Amino acid sequence: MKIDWKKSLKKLLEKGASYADVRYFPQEDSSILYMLNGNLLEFNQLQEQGFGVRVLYEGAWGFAASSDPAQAGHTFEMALKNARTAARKVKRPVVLADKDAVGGEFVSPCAEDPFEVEIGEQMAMLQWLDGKLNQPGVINREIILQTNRKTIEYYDTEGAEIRKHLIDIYPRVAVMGIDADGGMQSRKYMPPRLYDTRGWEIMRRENWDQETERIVSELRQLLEAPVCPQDTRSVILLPDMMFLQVHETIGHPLELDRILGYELSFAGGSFVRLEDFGRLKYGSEKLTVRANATEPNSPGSFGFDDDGVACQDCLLIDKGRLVGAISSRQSAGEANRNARREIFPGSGGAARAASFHRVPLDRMTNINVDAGEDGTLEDIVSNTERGLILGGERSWSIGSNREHFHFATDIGWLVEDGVNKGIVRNTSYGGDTLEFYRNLSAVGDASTWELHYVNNCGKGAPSQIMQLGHGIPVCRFDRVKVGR
Amino acid sequence: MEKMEKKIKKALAALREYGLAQDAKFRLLWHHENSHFIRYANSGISLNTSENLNRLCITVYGDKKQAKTSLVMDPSNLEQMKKMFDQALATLEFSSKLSYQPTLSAIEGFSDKRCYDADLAEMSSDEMIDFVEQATLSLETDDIVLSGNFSRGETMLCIMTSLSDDVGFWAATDAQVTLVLSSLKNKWEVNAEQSAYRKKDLKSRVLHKQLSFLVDSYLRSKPVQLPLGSYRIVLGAAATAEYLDLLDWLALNGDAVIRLAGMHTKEDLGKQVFSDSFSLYDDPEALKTFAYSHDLWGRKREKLALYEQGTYRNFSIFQELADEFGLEANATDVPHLNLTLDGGDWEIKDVRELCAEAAESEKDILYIPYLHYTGVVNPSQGLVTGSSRFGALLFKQDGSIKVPYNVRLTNKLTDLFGRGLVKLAQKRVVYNTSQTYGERDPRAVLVPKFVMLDDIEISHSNDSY
Repeated sequence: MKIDWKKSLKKLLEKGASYADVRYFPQEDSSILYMLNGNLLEFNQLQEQGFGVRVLYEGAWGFAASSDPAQAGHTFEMALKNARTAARKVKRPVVLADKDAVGGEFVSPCAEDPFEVEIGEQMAMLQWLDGKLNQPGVINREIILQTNRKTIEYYDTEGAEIRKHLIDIYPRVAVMGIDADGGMQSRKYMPPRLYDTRGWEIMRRENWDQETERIVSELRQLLEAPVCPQDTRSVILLPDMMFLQVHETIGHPLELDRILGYELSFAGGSFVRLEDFGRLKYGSEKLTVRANATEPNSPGSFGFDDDGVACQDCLLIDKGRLVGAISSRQSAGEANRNARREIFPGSGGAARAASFHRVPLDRMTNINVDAGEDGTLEDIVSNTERGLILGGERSWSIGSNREHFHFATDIGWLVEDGVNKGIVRNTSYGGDTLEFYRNLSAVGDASTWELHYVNNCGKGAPSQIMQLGHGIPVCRFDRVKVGR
Repeated sequence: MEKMEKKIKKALAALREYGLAQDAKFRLLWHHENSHFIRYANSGISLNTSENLNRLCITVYGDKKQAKTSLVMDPSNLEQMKKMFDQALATLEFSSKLSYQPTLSAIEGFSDKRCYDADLAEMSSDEMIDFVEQATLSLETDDIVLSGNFSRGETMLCIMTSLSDDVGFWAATDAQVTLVLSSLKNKWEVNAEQSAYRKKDLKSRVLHKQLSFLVDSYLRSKPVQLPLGSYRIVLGAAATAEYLDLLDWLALNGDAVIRLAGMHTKEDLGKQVFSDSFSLYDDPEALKTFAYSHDLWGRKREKLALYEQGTYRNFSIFQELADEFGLEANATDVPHLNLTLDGGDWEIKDVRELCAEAAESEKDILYIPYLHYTGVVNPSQGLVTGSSRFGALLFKQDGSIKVPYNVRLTNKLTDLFGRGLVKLAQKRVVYNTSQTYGERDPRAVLVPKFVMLDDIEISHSNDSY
C-alpha cells in the first residue's frame, strides 16, 4: 500500500498543526541467536514495519503509530487529536530550535551484511565459539549474537526528506564458574570497534581466537583469587568498564531533556543545572569529553537524527569544564529560553527514537573521552602507589540525579607500589560523581583508546532501548572507596 | 475487544491451516496492544501518544530443534505471515541440535478475560487529563511542578499449536499512574502512584491525599544528611516491590537457580532463608496483578508457594527448562508471575501513623517509599544496592518529621527479609511494576503497604538532593 507521506503531513498543517513529521520503517529485520552451554535456546528472526507520526499543535506534542498501513489516515488524525488534547495543559509551549531543511541519505558502513550470511555459516561460528569456551572450570558458557538492519524514511513539514539504511551487529560471549565460596564469577567479551565497518566481518575467527582464550584463563584465575579488600585507593578503569562509568555519570546527566526535567518520573533528573554550563568544574583538567556522532563506525553514528538534523561532533566537557549537552531541537530551544541566554547555538542532533512506535528523546550518540598524555596502561600502573585495575561491568546503580554511583565489576587486579600483584574477585567501587571526576589523575594515550558499543541503553516513558558508542581510554581516579 | 479477538483468531486459524498443509509442528503466539500514554513534565503535557500494534511469534519444532520468527505487522496481511512461517521452517533446517527434545503440547482451550474492563479500555484522553488534574489540584505552584505519566491500554494474547485447533486467549486492561511533584528551586521530588485493571479502581483523591502530605512535609522541613550507620527502616510498597523484583530474578526464576546464577540452588528448597513472617506466592487469583488463569501452554495455574513462612518452597520451572533438565513444568510459562506477599498483623493504614510508631519506639524510623535504579552487586550472595527516592522521611522519636537526602542501601536480601524483618502491615496494596521496553506487558505485585526492617546499614548518604 503506497502512502503519500508528504501529502498527509501537509493536511495536518492545513488542520492547524504548526509542525509534523513522520518516520516510516518499510522493513526492519532483527535476528537473535542465543546459545547456552551448546544449546541454541533462541534462534529468532524478527521483522517489523510501521510508521509513527508526531504533530505539534499550539505548542503541544501528539504522537500516534501503527503497524497497519490501512490505518494511515486514522493514525495521522489520531496524532493531531492527541496534540490538540495535550494543548489543554501547556505551560511551556514547545519551540523548536531552527534547522536547515535537509535532504539526504545515510548508509552505515558495512563490509559484509550479516543478513546475507548463510544461516549455516552463522551456526558454524556459534559452535566454534562454544567449543573455544568449553573448557575445564567453566560451568556456563553463553554466546549471544544480535543483528539489526533497518531502513527509515523521514519527512517533515519543514521540507526534510531523509533516508537511512542502518546495519548493526552485537556479538557477546561470556563464561561463568563457581569460586571457592560458592559464588558465581564471570568474564565476558564484547568486541570494541575493530574495523571502519560494522558487519559480519567482526565475526572473523581471528578476532575471537585470543579473546576467548583470555576470558577463560581470567575466569580460572578469578575462581582461585582472593576477595577484593575494602579500602580507599586509586582505581584504574579499563575501557570495558570506563565506558559504563562515562555512560552513567557523564552521558545520562548531560542529556538536556533530563536536565530540563522531562525524565523526572522515570529515569530521573540530573544534578546539572542550566547555570552550570560554561562554569561547572566537572572533572580535572585531564577530562575532555565529546558527543561525536560523526565517528566513522558506531551505532552512535546515524547520519541524521529523528528531528532531521545532521549528526555533529559536540564538545561536552573541555579540560574539566562543562560546556555542552546532548540535545535536540526542542531541548536546545527550551534551554535557551529558560536560561534567557544562548547556551546552545542549536540542536546537537541527538533526537533519537528506538522504533517507529516511539517518539524521539535526547539520546547519547558516541560519548567519547579524548585520549590523554599519560602513556600506556603499563605506564599508568607503574606510576600508581596503591591501586586497583578494574574491568568488565557486573552491576550498576546510580543516584536519581546521577550524583553518586555504585558499580561492581567482573575482575580486578591489585596494584601495590607500581606493580600488578594479581587478580582479586568481588570487586566494586562507588563515589560521588563530581568528586570522582575531579580526582581523575591519569588518562591513557591513544594506544589505550577503544570504541565500545552499547546496545541496551534504557530511557524514556514509554520506555525505549537505544544503541550507541563510547570511545574511551584507560583512566585512573584517586581516593576511591572499593570493595563495598 | 470482541472484534479484535475474532480478527486474531481468524488469522491464526488460517495460518495454522497453512502450517498443517506443510506437515509442520508449530506454536503460534499473537500479541495485540492498544496503548495510550500521556506524559507530563514541567506542569504541562509533554507527550500524548497512541499505539496500535500486532505481533506474531511463530515457533517451529523438529527433531531436537526449534526456530522462531517474530513479526510486527499489519494484522490483515496473511501473506506476510505465511512468508514468516516459511522463513521459520527454512531456519529450522539449519538450527543446531539441542541436547533435549523441546516439548510441543496441545493447548487446552481457555478464555481468560477476568482482568478486562471495557470502561478502562475506552477511557478518553480528556478523562485521563481530568483525573490527573483532580489528583494534583492546588498542589502545583511556580516552584512545585508536575511530572509523570498516565499509561492505559489493552493487551491480548492468543495461542494455538499444530496439535489441536483449541485456542488460548487472554485479555487485560491496565492503567498505571505515576505523578511526581518536584521543587525546581530545591530539587526535592515526591510521588504517588496507582495501578488498576478496572476504571472504577482509579481514585484521584487517594493520590491527592498522598501527595498533599508529602509536599507539606517537604515544605515544612529542612533537609538533613543522615549519618552512615544502622537504621530502623520502613519500606513503602514501591520499595518492597523493587526488592521482590530482584528476588524474582535471583531466586524465583528457575533458570538462575538451576544454572547456579542466582542466590539459591535447588538444594535450598525446604530451607528457611527468610523470617517466618515472609510468605510469597504466585497467585493466579490475584486479579490486581493482571493474573493469568492459564499459562501459555494452556495449563491451568494454581496458587504456588514460593516462600512459606520464610522457607523456600518453589521456583518457576518453565517448559523449556523442564525439557532441558528433566524437571516437571509448573505452569509458570507466563509473561510474569502473579506475585503476592502476605501481610502481617501490623495495624497501620497511613504513613502519618509512623509518627506515633516512632514516638513509642526506641529508635527513629526512616521511611523509604521507593528505590531508584537497583543493581545486583553479587548474585550468589543476593547482595543488592539501590538509593532512596521520592518522598523519604525520617520520623523522629520526639514526634517530628525530617526530610533526609537520598541514601544508598547495599544489603543482602537474606539480611533484609531474614534477621532484619520486624513486621508487615496487614493492609496490602497493589504496585504496578510494568516496564514495557518492548511489548505491552502489564504487571503488578500485591504487597503489604508497609514493611518494617531493623538494623539495616546505609552505605552512602547524599549531602544534597
